[in-house]
Order: sequence, then C-alpha cells, then structure tokens
Amino acid sequence: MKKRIKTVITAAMIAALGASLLTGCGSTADETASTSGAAETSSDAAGGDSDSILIAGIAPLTGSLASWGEGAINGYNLAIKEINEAGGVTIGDKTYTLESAVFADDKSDATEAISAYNNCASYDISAVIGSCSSSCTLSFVETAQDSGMLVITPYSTNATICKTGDYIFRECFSDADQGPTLAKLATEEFGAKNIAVVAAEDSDYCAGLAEAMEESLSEMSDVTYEHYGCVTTDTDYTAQISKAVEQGAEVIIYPNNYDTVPNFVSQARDAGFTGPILGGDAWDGTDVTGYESKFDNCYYLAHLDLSADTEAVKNYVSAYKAEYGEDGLNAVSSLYYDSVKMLAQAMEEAGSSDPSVIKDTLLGMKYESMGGEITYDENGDAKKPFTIETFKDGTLSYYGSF
Amino acid sequence: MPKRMKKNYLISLIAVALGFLLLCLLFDTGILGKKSAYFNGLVVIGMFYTIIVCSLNLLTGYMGEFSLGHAGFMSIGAYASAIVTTLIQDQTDLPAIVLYLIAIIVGGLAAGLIGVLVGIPALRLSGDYLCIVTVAVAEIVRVVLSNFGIPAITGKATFGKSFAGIAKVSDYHYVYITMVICIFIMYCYIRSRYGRALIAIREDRIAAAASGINVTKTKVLTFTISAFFAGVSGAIYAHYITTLVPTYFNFSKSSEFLAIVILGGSGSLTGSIVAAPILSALPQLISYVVPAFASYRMLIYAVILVVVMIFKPTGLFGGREFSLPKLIEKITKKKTPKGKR
Amino acid sequence: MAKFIQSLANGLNLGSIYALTALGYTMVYGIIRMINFAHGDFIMVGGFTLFYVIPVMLKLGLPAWFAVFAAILVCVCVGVLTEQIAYKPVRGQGSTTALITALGMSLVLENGALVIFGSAPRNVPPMFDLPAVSFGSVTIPATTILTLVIGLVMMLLLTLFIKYTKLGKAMRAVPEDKIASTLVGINVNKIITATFAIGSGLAAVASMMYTTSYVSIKNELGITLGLKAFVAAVLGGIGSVPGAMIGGLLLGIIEIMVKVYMLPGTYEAVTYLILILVLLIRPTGLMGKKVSEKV
Repeated sequence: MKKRIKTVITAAMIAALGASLLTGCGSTADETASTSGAAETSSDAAGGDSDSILIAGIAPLTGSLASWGEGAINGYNLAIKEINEAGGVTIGDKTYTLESAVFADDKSDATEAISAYNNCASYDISAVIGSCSSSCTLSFVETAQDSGMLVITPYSTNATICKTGDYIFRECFSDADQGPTLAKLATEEFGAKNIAVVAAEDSDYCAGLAEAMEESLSEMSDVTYEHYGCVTTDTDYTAQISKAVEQGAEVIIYPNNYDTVPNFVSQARDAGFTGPILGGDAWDGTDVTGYESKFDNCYYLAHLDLSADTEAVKNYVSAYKAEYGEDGLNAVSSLYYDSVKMLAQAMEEAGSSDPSVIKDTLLGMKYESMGGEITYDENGDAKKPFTIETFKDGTLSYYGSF
Repeated sequence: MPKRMKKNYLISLIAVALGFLLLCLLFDTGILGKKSAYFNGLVVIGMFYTIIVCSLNLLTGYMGEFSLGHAGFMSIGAYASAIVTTLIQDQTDLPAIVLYLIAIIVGGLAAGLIGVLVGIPALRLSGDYLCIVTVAVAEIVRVVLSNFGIPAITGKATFGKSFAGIAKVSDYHYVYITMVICIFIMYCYIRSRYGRALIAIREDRIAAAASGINVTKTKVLTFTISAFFAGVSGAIYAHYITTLVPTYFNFSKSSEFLAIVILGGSGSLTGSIVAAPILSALPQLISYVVPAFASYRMLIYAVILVVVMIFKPTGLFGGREFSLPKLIEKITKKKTPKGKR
Repeated sequence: MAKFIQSLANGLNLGSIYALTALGYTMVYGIIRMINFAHGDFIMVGGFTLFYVIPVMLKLGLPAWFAVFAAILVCVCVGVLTEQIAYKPVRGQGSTTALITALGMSLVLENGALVIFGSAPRNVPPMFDLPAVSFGSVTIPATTILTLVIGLVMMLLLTLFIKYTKLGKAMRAVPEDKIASTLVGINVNKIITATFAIGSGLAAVASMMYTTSYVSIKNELGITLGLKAFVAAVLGGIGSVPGAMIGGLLLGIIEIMVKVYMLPGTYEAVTYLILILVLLIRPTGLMGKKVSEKV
C-alpha cells in the first residue's frame, strides 16, 4: 500500500514537473519566437546579398513508384541547369542563380513525405516542387499552407490538394477535370454505353479519380457503368475482369498506378476482353516489355506527348537525352521540368522570390508548358489541355487530345 | 531500502527532467534555426516509436509471446483519436493540450478495447499460432480501414483515402511527458504483482497455473495494456503526421517494431528505450546526410537482426535493465557491496 | 452459372499457386516446427531469376520455360544457404528465436532484392504461348489449366516421394521423434537440409506459375504471397501435404468468390478471418493431426 502511494506521488511529481517546465518553456518559446524571427530576417538579408535563390524538390526516388522519381529528379535538375545557363532568374534589376537546396525522397509513403517536406523546409527555400502520389502530397500541404510555404505539385492530381489553401498549386490537371475527360473519352471517342470501372479503394488518386469520373458517367442518361473495387497491392484481377466481361462492358476503365497495369492488362486480355482499356495519367511509365501485343487498344490520358513534333518537346527530349540518356524520360520528368521553369517565370513576373508574392502572381499567370498553355483558377488548380496516348506495338504514341 | 528507492526515483526524475530541458534548449531557443522543424520531427518520431516498442516489449519480453500485428493496434488508436478530435475541433475550439489529452486517451482506449476483444479468444493460443493471429487481426484492420468508408462522420475525409486535416497537436513537450508517463506505468506494471505473475507464466505456464496464478486473466490484461499503449502511440502519430493512410500500418511496419524490440533486448524496457529512438530516427538522420543510405536501411537492420539472433539471441540488453542510479553508484563508490541489491 | 464456373476456374488458378507455396511451408513446419517466413521470398527470387534467364534461353534457341530449371537451381541454393547460414545455428534455441530469425531472413531477402534489383516492377516475359479455351461464355486461359495440372502433379509426386522413398520416410520420422530417428541412423541435419532444398525447388516452380498469371514482379511480392500461403497451410492442417494442397485451392476459390459475390476489396479480411476462426476452433486444420501438450 505504501509503495502504491509512493508510485502515485512520483507520477504526480513527474506530471507537476512536466507542467511547470511546459509553462516555463511556453514563455521562453514566445520570447525566442521573436528572436528567431529576427534571425530569419537577417538571414533573408543575407540571402539578398548572395546571388542565389533556393528551391527544393520531393519525389519517390525509391519505393514502388520509383520510376517516376527517377525522371522527376532529372527533369528538375535539367530545368535548373537550363535556367542558370540562360543567365538565371532576373528579379528587378538583379539576376540570381537558381539552386536546389535538396531533393528529398518520399518513397511514395505519406509518413516519409512529411519527413521529406520537413527536410526541405529546413532550408531557406522559396518553393517546394513535389510530390508525385496524391497521398504523399496531401500529407504535407496543410503544414506548408500554415507556414506559408509555396508548393507546386507537378503530378498529384487529387482534386482536394489545391483546395487546401492559396499557397498550393499544381502543374498538372486536377482529377475534377480528368474524371469527366476520361468519361468523355470512353463514351464519345469509343462510343461505349456499357462501362466497367476497376479502381483501387485505398489510394487517394485512384479513388478520387474514379469518383469524379463516375459522377459524370452517372449524369449521362444512356450510359450504364459498374464499379469494381480493388486495392493497390492486388495482383489478381480475374474476378473483377470476369464480372466486367459478364456485364458486357465495351470499355474497361482502370485509373490506377502504373505498377499494376501490366498485371491488369494481361489478365484482361487472357480473359478474352479485347475492347479498349482506358487509364488515367498515372499510367505514365508503364512497362510493356514482353506483352506488347496485349497493350493494343489501351489508351490513357497524359499531360503531354513526348514524341510530339513541337519545338519545346523536341528541345526537351534532346536536352534530356544528352544529359541523362533514355532512363526516366517520361511525362513526370517533363512535369518537374515545367514546374521549375514556371516557378522561375513567376518569380521574374512577380519581381520577388517571396512565396507570398509569387502565389498571387501565379494565379493570374499564363505559362506555356510542353503539354499546352496553363492558367490557374482561383484554387490554384491548373487548367491545361489533355493528351491521349496509346500503345502501338509496345511503343507509346500520340492518339489525340481534348 | 525505502530511502534507497527514494534516491533512485529522484535520480531518474532528474535524468528525465534533464532530458526535457535538453529538448527545450534545442528546439525552443531556436539555436537550430530553420533546421529545428526537421529535427523536432525526428524527435517526435523517436518518441512514439519508443512507446510502441516498449508496449510490444511487454508482450515479447515479459509474456514471452509475439505480436506481429502491433501496427494494427497503432492504426486503431490513430484513427479513433483522429476521428474524435476532428469532430471536436469542428464544434469547439479547444486548446491544443486538451485536444492532445483527449486524443491519446481515446486512442489508447479504442486500441485497448480491441485488445480485450482479440485477446480473450486469441490468448488461448500461444507461440507461432498467436503470432499469426495478431498478423491476421492487423491485416483485417488494415483492409477494413482501406475499404469501409464512414465519410459522413468527420465531413472532412473518408477512409480508404487519406484521412487528412487532423489537428497537429503532438507537440514534443507533451509527447515527451506522455512517453515518460507511459514508460513509468509499464515499469510499475512489470514490478507489480501482475508483472511478477506474468514472468512466472513466461517461465513455466503450467507451474504458474498450479501455484494459483490466473493465467488467462494475466495474459489478457497484459495484452490489453500493450494494445492500449500501442493506441496511445498511434494517437501521437496521427496528431503529428496529420494525414493517415491505412496502407502505412502494414505487416512490414509490425515486423519493424518487433525487430527493434529484439535488437534492443526483449525483456529489457531500457533496451527498447535506447533502441527505438536510435533505430527509428538515426536512419533518417543518416539518409539526411547520405541519401543513398535509405535503400540500405532495412537490409542493414535485417542482417543485424539475423546476426544478433545467431550470436546473442537475447538482444542488445539481453533482458537486463540499465539503471542510472546503479551506474552513478558504481562511479561514485567504485565498489558495490556484494550479495545485496 | 457461367459466372460461377469462370470464377471457379480463376479460383483454382490462384489456389494452385497458393497450394504450391503452402507445400513449402508445410514441409518445413512439419519437420522443424518453424514458420519459414522467408519462403515467400524464395518465390520472389525465383521470379527474378526467370526475368533474367528467359531472354538468355530465347537467345540460345531454347523454349522459354527451360528457364524454370535455372530458377530451381537458384532457389535451391538460396534455400539451402538460408538454412545453413541462419537457421542451423539457432536450431535448439527455442521456437521464438527461430521465428525471429525466419522473419529476419525474410527481411534480408526482400531488402537485398531491393538493393540489387531496385524497386521498379519488372515484367517477366511470357513462357507459354497457349490459346485460351472457351466453353460457351466461359473463357479459361490455357495457363490456368497448366498451372492446375502442374500443381496436382507436384503434389502427387511429393506424396509418393514422402511415402515410398527412403529419404521421404526419414522426413516423416524426424518430426515424430528426433532422438529416435538419430538412433536408427538418420542424419537429422541432412534431412532438414533436404527438406529445405525440396521446399525451395517447389518455390521455384511456384514462381513460374505465379509469373505466367501475374506478369509483373517486384521485391515485395513474397510478403503477401507468403502470408496467404501460410494461411492455406494452416487451413489445410500444417504439416500435411494433401492438406496444403486442399487448403491452397480452397483459399484461392474463397478469395475469388468473395471478390465476385461480395465486396471485392474486402477479400483479404475474409481470408484472415477464416484463419483466425480455424486457429480458434480447429487449430490442427482440416487434415492435421492433433498434438497434445506434454507437461
């Protein structure tokens, strides 16, 4: 009994000590906030003296979506290099070199993404370019918004991301646009009246895109569709596919990440489904090696076509190949590239490297990306044209655009 | 003896306070500048790892049973607390500390409740089979969180997709104190009547039952306490990371926790306290400096785990507790009287 | 009805992969009472071997499926090495140490593959070019039939092997009484190594069947597959060869049926729920023998 009392007393002592320290530290924290604020402004002044502007990037360099990261870091570095070779960023009458503080790896894992973001934010940067998967980007945008950090995500299309706040932008289209476009592609281009949707339930991107798409499908009176769930770690889709076949689907829409696409497509073809299989922009990077013939009649919405005959794309592709070879040359790389270039343009137009100024400039800005002209709506959602890509004998080729 | 104990408590208390002051010094004075947010994050990660690893050690070290499903209990705590705080936050504007307290209590209770429900039937099994049941439970929790949406509850997010917008109230001051209290409670539990009964069961279940120990009750109680603290850890995680993704709490996470317990030494709380922050935060710190390290991290863990199993199956601390007072005694007196504890 | 038959065929396809994997679990568990968590990762190793060897085979003008022999070789080496390096030293240290070591080896293989092969998914080139068979509205890929046939043949061979060969008889003797089997001249260590060799060889065959159905492989594929196969082994009665086969097929069918007739995303929950129920109600599984606890 005595011992128990002692235990309780000790616990209470710890709590009391903790509380007293807490209040003590609370007040010191307030005091130091002002001093650290001063330190920040002084370092800002130091930044003004130096001739460089820092930015940072985040992408999944490892993990199951690593093919995106591989291109992402190259595209990002290429843009920085080109900007500096062209003389840097001119703000007012002074030119600065653009420098990458860090390029962090989020392993396509939301927790790692937070650490990656904190890592980036520990430098005196003007903006963060990242990340790829929507779940990762969602994990840090709120923190970024609260601390006034400008985020431009090159590839996260989930509709809610840019609604977080006015510091959050994207270089890609939003699923609020991609969903209806995908629905339009299925019904108008391929004339489907009976559609099957197979989407992963545990991914922000897949579920969000499927939802937006089904919303517009349900508004079409003469179209019927069925939704079949799966999860991102699935390998067996025979059940969903056999149901889709039974339902008489003319088109199957599979808006999931690229790493699962070969499994899905080959199983669909094995099950005797020969109709079009459509995907979202996360199909970018799909490996078709060995299964080229099965990928006939597969289409996906893309941000741009890398075989396009425009000056910008050709220049980009040749510059990329000269610097890094063929590896990682995908749409993601170009989106990171364009994001950096767009940021630089915004800084020049804003005449400042201060995020709070850049964000207002971005809203009213027009940027000529490789995939077409980008403008922003009031959320910071990019409005840009859609490209449709298809596979011809296993090579990616342009099909059309919306 | 009581005087000595008083002294021991005092020394531990001072050590705890010094640790706290060190953290305050590091992060509140702003000497780390802009880097402080990053290191702050690492410290919080290290602390919630410490809680969950210690809670798992209760099972592994003192009960002698394995759970490869602690990530499941963690996720229950995380989701339950996040739902409640999100609901509360929408209604009223509570101060951070109140919200935090509500979060850890709700998280712990929710996980503890599931712990009881799972423990009562499952603890009839032991060894490999119990281990597999915990895996199964964690997987079921993950699948349920991935699939069944309760979108209307919070109005903010649905399950299956990220649960975003959770209040960021896991301030490291609070988390540190929570961690100390959690460890203290676990320490007291092990030293209590139940803890001694537990160790007796571990050593010989049948003999323990024969000497009047209620085996099932003790096991279920321990399992519940372990689940409770896993839930607390989950609540801290949720309110630090602010976005929950069900796929995070998978089998690999559970095995990572177990690996840390074993490396630190099963049956040694201090082993876990030392191992958890080092093995959770240090790799991140190294990959901060050397980015290529990230992909080697788990490989290195795994190799160390196997090597430790072959050469020193009891882990780093091997069931012994590190004791600061004793160390001080050793240094100051050089000699401790033999035959006396 | 067509839907049911189609699903049954799909389930049998998935099930025979589970079954073949479960055979490896069951054999090892039957002999040394250890859950070999690394077994799923042997299949991953086999998959990557196929990925690299098939192009070589094609270049040599040989049929692609000859690569499976290379896979068997590699898997047997990896399996035996795992046993010799990690499991043998901890034998006799108690089941908990063995369990953790197995888990550790699984992590070693998985993350070793991550370091060596990277995390990007790879497509294993097709090994068989067979047409699909159609019965009315039911389409069954020929690979499904092949998978099922290979699975059944493997099980039959294994049963005969265990029943009639000297080595097989010794394998049955060791778990019954280790000391007694040593007394009658059985080299227990050798038997255990042989068991691992056979189990890993089966894993290589399973990897061939896995990759014909699921073309994309990555370093993590062993985790889920291993867990599922373990469930199958427990369902059938761990330690029993026909049990593993039946458990595997049953699990495959159940998973596909849940996907077809219930919520598709929840099939894993059903799988694990079945596992829990089996363990609680009949821990010895469908075909297992009851072992009473010795005091």
